[in-house]
Amino acid sequence: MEDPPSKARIALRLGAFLVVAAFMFMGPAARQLGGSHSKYLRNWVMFSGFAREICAVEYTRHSGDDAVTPINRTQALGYETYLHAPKTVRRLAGIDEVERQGRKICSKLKSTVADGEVLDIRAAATCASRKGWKDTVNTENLCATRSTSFERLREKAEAESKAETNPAPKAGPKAGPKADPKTGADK
Amino acid sequence: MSWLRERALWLATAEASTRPAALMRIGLVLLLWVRYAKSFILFTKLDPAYIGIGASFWLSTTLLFFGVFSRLSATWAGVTTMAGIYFFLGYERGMEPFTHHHTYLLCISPLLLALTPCGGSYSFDRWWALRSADAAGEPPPPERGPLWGQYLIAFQIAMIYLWGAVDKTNAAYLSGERFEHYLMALYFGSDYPKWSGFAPMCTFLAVSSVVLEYALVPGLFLRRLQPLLIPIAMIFHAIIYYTMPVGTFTLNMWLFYIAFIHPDVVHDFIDRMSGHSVSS
Repeated sequence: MEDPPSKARIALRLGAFLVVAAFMFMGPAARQLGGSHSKYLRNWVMFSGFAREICAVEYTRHSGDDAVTPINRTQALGYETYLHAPKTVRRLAGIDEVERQGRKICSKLKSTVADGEVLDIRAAATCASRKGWKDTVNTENLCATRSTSFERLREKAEAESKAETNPAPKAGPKAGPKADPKTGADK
Repeated sequence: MSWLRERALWLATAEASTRPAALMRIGLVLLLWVRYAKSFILFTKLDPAYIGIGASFWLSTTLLFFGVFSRLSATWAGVTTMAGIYFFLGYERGMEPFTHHHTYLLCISPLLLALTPCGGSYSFDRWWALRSADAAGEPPPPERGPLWGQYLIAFQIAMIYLWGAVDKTNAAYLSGERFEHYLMALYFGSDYPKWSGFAPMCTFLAVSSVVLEYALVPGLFLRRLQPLLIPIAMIFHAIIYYTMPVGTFTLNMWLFYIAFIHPDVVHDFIDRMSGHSVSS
């Protein structure tokens, strides 16, 4: 058996243990609770910033008799099933992409419009953020030459984005995609 | 106070089998190679910084793998990974993937390992010690070393669970909405699943993951709970590994669960599995 450690060695081990353990405990505390941004301190915030670039969207077709029909967007865009569509079609990262895909659906469905009928496709969308789903947005007719609703939505999203960067005192009303599964109209 | 004094004295003087630290040493090097080999193979990037850090990385980790001057090579490997890869390439050069959580854990691990008797078993260090004892006509030295470094590794794992859980303790995560984002970003795309159980399932998964993380903080240290909690935690990490992009994090955590188990238990288990008699 080796000799028992000397007093100096015991003190050294205890000192090292306490310093390293304190660093392990206090580092994340300073980053996560104390507002520190030091790269020398590690935070443990796995997945806190992951998957913020995803929107939940539902496109609907509106006809003159107030009928609202949900659109299977991947099929409307010419893909046999959801799994056949590329990721860029399946996953929409922001309201710009929601608008762009809506307009593509408009051009694809043009041929299905009867004479005298106006093609009216709208989107209900909500996008991810660290604080959950952002407020649901409902568009006007995306097939119109220019949708002013998107201008407003974009401004709203930018304002929300700024508010997230510089947190506002209170969050906006909660409204997930499940809060408006069927609506598409801009009320 | 005397209780605290006794515990502190025990922590600084307790010795146990060196086999668990050796297993972590070997496993850690394999994980380091899995994560970084591709970046530091010579032809990958003919940049002086990469070549220099790469040379240091390969030499130190190879010595560490074989257990040659184990604690010294662990320190060398740790300085290379932390200073060279994590801080210099990750932060100074802006290689963002080198700053991720799982890479930090990998990079800091050799330094923590350097505080353990990681060369006391399954190593050239051990082989040399046996040869020296043979030459001197002495019995083989016991595979024993100080325990405090291993407890630091265990503490690091516990802190990951604690602060990971603290970060998730908020309405967005616990309501399941953040979990919905994960699943939609990875699997369902922008079509919110029509299945009515989707939202409750996400809430359940979110809450249970946080509860488990909080439970693991003290629970992994309690020997009576280890047979229950370690398998649960391993399954938890396996599911994450299979379903989400976590790199080497799961395997690193699996490997470091060894640090929670008393080294003599691990030693006896290996003896038993090898058909040898149990030491105690």
